[in-house]
Amino acid sequence: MPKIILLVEDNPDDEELTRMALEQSNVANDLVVAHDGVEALDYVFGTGPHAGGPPPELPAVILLDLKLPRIDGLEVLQRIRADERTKRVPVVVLTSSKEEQDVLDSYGFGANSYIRKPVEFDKFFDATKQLGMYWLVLNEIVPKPSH
Amino acid sequence: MQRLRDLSIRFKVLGLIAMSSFLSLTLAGAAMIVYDLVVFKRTSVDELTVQAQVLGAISSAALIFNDPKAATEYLATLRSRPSIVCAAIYAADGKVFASYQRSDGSGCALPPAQADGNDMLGDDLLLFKGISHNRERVGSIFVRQTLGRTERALGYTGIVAIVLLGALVLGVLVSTAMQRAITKPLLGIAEVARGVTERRDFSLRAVKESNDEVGLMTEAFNQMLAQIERSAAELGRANAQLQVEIGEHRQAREEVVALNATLEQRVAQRTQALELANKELESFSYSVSHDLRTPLRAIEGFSSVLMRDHADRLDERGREHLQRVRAATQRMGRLIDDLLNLARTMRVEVRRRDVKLSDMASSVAKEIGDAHPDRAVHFDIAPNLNADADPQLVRIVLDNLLGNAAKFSSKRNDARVEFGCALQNGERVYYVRDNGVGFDMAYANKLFGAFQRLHSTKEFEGTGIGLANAQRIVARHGGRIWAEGRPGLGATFFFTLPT
Repeated sequence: MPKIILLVEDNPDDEELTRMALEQSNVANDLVVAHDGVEALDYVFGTGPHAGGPPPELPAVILLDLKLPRIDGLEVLQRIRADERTKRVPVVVLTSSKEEQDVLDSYGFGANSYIRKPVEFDKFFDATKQLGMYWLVLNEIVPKPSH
Repeated sequence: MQRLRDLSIRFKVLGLIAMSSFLSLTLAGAAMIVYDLVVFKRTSVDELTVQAQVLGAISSAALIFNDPKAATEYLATLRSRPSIVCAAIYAADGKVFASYQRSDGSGCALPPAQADGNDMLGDDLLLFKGISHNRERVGSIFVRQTLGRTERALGYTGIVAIVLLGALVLGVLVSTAMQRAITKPLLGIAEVARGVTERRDFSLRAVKESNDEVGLMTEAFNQMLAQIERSAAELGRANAQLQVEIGEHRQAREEVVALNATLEQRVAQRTQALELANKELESFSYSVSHDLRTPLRAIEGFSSVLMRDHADRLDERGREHLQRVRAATQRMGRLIDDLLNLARTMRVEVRRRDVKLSDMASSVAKEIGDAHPDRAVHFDIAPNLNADADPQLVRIVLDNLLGNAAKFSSKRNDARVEFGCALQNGERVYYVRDNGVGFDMAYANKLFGAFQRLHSTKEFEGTGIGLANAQRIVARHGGRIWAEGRPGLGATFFFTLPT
């Protein structure tokens, strides 16, 4: 079963670069992109456009930008952590900001990792590759609850 | 004695006059009485002697002719003098020849004949006188007379007493007049003194009514009042002056308070403005951090992808241009990072603790060496240096200063970077010295400005933020930073970290 990666990113350039980086690091996963906080929450909770369908498959990892339209990344993180269904899903904050307060808040609200997107593509590529390797290959995900 | 002292002057004067009048009159009266009694007795003796002689002369014939009847008759003439109690004529042989007794019956016993002379028996004068005829003593006569000295003395005493009484009455009248003359000015002084005390009117004066001691006292009292009046006036002026000064002082204090309030208000406003500015700076930094970097990352990322995946479709120049795009983008990324660091340096709180500067410098030197293994720079770091400072911030200073020193001396084969500390005017001054390219002192003031560079990027890489950052950090510790250098002879950067 392919593991889904949920990328929450409003910037199409970053989305494309992340997609390319993941592809080139041969992390064979389905990349789902949410373009703002609302989309992200609708996806994980099966609400909005996803309402009525089968319960969503939870992503193996959520790559979360902080600066997002409508609902920002920190609030998305809080809501995911507050919900019994999603509170154990790994969330990696992937952002341009290296503000100390953002780092503190992210870990405070239960992020598993905080990665600042480097300007240099080579470094960004390396980072994304390592990220994919770690969270999708090495890391054992939370087992699905058996019904 | 105390009672005597407490008596009013009036009674003292009265007592004095009464006492002196009494004493003088009593003495005078007594002397007069004594004198009178003495004279009276002598006169009585003389008179009685004459009387006796006359009686004796008359009775001498009766004696000679032994006619006692005649003698008795002669003696009976003494009736005209009731003070004579009794009398007798003695014959030459001493026998009573004739005698006389006062008719009221209070007679007396006749003494035996005696020689001439007189004697006193109580108040009675006893007189003996011889009777001669042709110088021959034919007998003697005896007369006893009551002098009545007691009555006389009593009479005199009564007179003296009356005079004394009169004198006393007169004395009281006189003393009353006198005491008025003495006590009135005194009472006047007392009245003025009371007025001064009660009304605080120092212009009051006692009236001088005489030139005696009381007059002198009045004068002295008035002088004293005048002196007090002057002193009081001066005191009043001084008081008024003081009141004015107090008023000025109070006004000044109120102004200071008002100014303080204004100042506090201003400080509060400025603080608020500053906080607002800080917040804006923060959100600005955040935007820069996030929003400026995002397009950069896209430019860099897609250039990179172009280079990697489509390089074969570009010629050599195209690839070079693409490479320049990437280099410029990366440089801009570093500039943004450095700017953010600078802004953060200005924002964060300085948390001082003991920092082992020597260890920190060694660590920084090692990192520099690791990052640039191609450079041959020798670091000479003085041991055991420490400071009371924020370790994270001081680390940035050392990063910049040691990094600069290594960078600008890296073109030499014998590059040396020295970190140490020296005392200048009792102040600990840390320094970083290198033997690199140095700089012209004419540009020394530009060293610490943001984005100010003395060398081209091509010659030495860098953004021109490092020293500006170092200066802000040192300033936030209350210290100074400055540099000395000469082109080609190296540079020395000094800084202080006062505790």
